[in-house]
Amino acid sequence: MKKWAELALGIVTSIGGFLEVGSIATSAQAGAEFGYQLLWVLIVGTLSLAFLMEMTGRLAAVSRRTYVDHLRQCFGVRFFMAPLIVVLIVSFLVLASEVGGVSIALQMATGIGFQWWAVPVALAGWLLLWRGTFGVVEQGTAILGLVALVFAVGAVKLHPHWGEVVRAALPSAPAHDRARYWYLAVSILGASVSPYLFLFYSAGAVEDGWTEEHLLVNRVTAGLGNVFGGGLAIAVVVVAALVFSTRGIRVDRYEQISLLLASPLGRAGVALFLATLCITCFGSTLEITLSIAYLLAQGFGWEWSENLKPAKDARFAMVYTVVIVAAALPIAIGVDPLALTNLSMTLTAASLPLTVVPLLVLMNDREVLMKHVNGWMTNGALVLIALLSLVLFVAALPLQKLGGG
Amino acid sequence: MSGREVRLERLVGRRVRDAGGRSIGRIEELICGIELHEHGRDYVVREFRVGTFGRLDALSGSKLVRELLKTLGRVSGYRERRVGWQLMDLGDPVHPRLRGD
Amino acid sequence: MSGVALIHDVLDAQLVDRRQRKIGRADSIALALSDNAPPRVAAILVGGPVRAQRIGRWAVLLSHALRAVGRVRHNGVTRIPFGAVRRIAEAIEVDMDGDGLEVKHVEDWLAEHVICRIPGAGDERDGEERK
Repeated sequence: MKKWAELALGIVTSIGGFLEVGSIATSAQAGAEFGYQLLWVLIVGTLSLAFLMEMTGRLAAVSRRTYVDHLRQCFGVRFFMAPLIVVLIVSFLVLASEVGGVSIALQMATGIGFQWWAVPVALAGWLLLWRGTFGVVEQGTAILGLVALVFAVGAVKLHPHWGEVVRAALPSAPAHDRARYWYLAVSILGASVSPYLFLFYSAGAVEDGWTEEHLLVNRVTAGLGNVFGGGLAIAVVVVAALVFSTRGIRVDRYEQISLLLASPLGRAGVALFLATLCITCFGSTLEITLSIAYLLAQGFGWEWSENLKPAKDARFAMVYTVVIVAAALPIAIGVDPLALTNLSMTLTAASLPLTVVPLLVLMNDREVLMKHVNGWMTNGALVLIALLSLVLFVAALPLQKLGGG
Repeated sequence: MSGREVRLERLVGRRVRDAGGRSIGRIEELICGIELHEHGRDYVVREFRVGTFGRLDALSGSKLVRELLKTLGRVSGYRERRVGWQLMDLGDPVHPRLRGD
Repeated sequence: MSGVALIHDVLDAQLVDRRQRKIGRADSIALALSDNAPPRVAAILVGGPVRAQRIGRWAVLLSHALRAVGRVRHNGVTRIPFGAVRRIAEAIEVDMDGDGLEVKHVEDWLAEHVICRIPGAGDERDGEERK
């Protein structure tokens, strides 16, 4: 019985955790400018994330140690500094974007400018981290995040031509604006495969005390959860394609994205969109802040757990306190949230080799994983994802320059 | 017992040369065991593991690349040699040499 | 516990004290060399300055700068005699009390001067550990 509850919870977590500022923004832009054509990229991103989460979860369950822990011990502190610094910078930018997402939602709901919301949002997030436990953060945001299902409702109500949607699952080259197309492809991948997601997931496996007995839960959570979560992102693309693309609207501001659900669902659609944006971005704010604290604490061997009183892991608590407040500052001084989101998605994509390539070694270490090392299929997938990450590393910044405008 | 102390990281990754000055690979691992004596026990290094990638050796400066090549095992031409502590001359820790013939 | 691989099993591993509290990572290992005897594993070293030396010049400079700004007087390095190692598993357990070790200075200072002044932080010394 407990197993089933864990399974259900795991799936809900990934659904609620998948959609956040990056995937909403990039999916909406992709749908508006290229219709269904970029759907295949979203599928590639979702599958990659599912594989990476399954692997980092398996590693944590079998060894009872987090991915960051292994990264430091296997490759040494000298190498470890590279992913540490890069993931810190990238996650911080994504975090600021999430705070921006919540603030924009609140601006549209209240009419008070988004700059004013950044610090209150950060303080509310901090209070939850300070008082709440890991379960509260993980499950609370996951269950509230189910509001994102409204995108699925919206997509169905617009009666898309499903044959065309399915056909877009196969890659195709764009007929126009090639630089923009590939730039959006990179952003979508950056939004789907964020390193913080698997850092958080593997830390969570240790927080929840996973063992080999949780390998099934792990596989189902990573697999089904991401299928559902990715499905919601697909729904965003479909809605954007039908609402914006057909009218020739290009998305440059969050205010435009908020009209996504107005056409299938009317006034309630706008309210539901704002609620979704607000809740999912707030959930991600908590998860990214914790991920940054996990990264530093595990990398340097400090005491860490979201379930301990802050006095018992002072450095860990200090890091999340400073980080969440600092992340509010760019938004508070008026940096455009959508521009910041787009930039952070590109940088995330470029950073992936540092967190993906080491898995090739770790997931084949028999001393650590014993009989649970990667098989030919997972290794094949991992090699493909690693190659993809190298392509992103090379292509992301040039494409940002060519197609980011 | 002279009191020379060296940090592990000074040894790791150093090329080991034989009496003829040829490189036999880099120090990759130190295996230690327990040595009992009258006032307690000590951990002492019994064996050094020296690894080489043959012709790919020049690539193996970074730990990540090295570990990746090792994961590939035979494909990368990886060979490991075990050197007992008696055979390892650490007179100059930065330039370890094989003792004897 | 024979045949310990110093780099794979010990270097960079998580250290916990006898109460299972995390006290840092094995940033370096000191070996005592002598003629005609095998090298002896003297101690595990923990602390920013040791770590910085392994990372590179920029980290050493940064570490010096931070220590100058923070007016840190103690040398920031904890030396754990290898004889104190009790168990090598998911983490390395050492037969010591983390409290009062050099490596805990920052943690203790933060707990006392910052964290515990915020309501709801719990008690630094004793009291309920979990939220």
